[in-house]
Amino acid sequence: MNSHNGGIHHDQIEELLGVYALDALDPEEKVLVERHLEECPRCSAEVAQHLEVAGFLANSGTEAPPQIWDRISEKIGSGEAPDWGKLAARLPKPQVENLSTPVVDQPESSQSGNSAAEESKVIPIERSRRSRLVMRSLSIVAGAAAVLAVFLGIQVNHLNSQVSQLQALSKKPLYNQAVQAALEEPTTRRIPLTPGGTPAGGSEVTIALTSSGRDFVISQNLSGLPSTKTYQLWGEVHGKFVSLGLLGSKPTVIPFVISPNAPVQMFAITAEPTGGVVQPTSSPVVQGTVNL
Amino acid sequence: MIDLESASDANLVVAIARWHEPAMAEVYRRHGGAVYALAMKVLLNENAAEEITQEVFLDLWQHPEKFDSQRGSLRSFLLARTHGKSVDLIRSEESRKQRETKTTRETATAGYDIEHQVWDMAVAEKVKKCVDDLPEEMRKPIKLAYFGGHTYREVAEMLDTPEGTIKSRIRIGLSKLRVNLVESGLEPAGAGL
Repeated sequence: MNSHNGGIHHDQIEELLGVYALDALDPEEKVLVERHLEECPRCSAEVAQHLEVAGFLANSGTEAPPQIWDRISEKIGSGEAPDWGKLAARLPKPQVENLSTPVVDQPESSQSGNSAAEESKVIPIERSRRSRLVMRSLSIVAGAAAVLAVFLGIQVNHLNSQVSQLQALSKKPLYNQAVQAALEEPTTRRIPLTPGGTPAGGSEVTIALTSSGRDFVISQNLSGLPSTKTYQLWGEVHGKFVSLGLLGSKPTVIPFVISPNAPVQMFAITAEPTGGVVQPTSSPVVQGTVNL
Repeated sequence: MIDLESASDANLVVAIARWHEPAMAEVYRRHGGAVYALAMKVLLNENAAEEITQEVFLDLWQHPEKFDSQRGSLRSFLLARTHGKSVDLIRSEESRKQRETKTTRETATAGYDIEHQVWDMAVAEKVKKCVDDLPEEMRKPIKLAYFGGHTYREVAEMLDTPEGTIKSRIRIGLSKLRVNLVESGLEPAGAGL
């Protein structure tokens, strides 16, 4: 390859990849390499390999010092439940196509630039929505009803390892009755999710939002994924996407928990690597807007 | 409840993105020791190593999206950040002076998962052998750059070798080390070429 990057050829940059991975470059060269890595997947892959090897060099059987954790814990643990605005603010906008994001008013200070610092600023939430939302632990925690979950002795969470439990649970008559009862509640809202978010063609997935906040993803005909992939449910909050949980590779009816007051403007489901991702990396398979 | 001990690192980072502090604690339990040990090796200063360790984990808490599980393991991600921050610190004039006062410390053992510790030590032994198997002309510049925090230009000067040669030896040395690691049963992750 002969591409130039700040006057440097690809093969000259390649020569720098080892020393780059060891942080042994001068700052000016480091900038050049990083600029090149943004557009060269081959060199990025080589750096990733060097970093793994360097990681082995540092390997040791040392204990994580507890006193450092105490200080970290003190800084991150305010003891308060997080709110949706802050949760959304910590996530950058997803870099995927076809994820139709409504325009969201940004604070004035963040309109002038797009630096990382500005990206991470908290987007203010309307006062009426500012009440703390109970998002204890991971949000896909409980089942169709807390009572039912306790009764069955199963607490459902959003990790893949628990998806099989969920699917087993869905075969239980009591669970099905709970789902049915929730769907028949007049206050239950149904959000159809379709490819592209358009109503035409019928929905492939329905989100059922109950008044209790114990909700369901009901998949009518989502096709199965290979075992290396999982469907992941997202809620759009203030223009950013917050993971609502992993649904497994062949979801049917999956319960999740979300506050009835959560300002989710859109739901979307993407196919992601097993284990899930912090932000969507692929275009949504289906999506649907919530009419507030 | 998340089964923290059996959750993968990628799962834990997803949970961290949702402000799940126990997931953060588990990540610290798994990787805090390696992060701290690397910072100590580079900085040779207990207080500075603790500061860097704290900073690395707080960064993960604040920006979990920067970790991409498709590009490598969480440990190498954390260690790369630890190394970068440590090197930045020792390259500042002030800390170069501090670095001359070398300190060491005994590490407490309470609370550390003995299985992880044994595993890490066994891996460390194998890695040491793999590094020792590298030709000295490659091993030396890698160690000077990685643990000494020197730029390749400084390494070239120290070893009285042309800069271009040092660049190549470090790059080839890392690739060779990768092969040694694989052959000894250790499988470094990282995107394939």
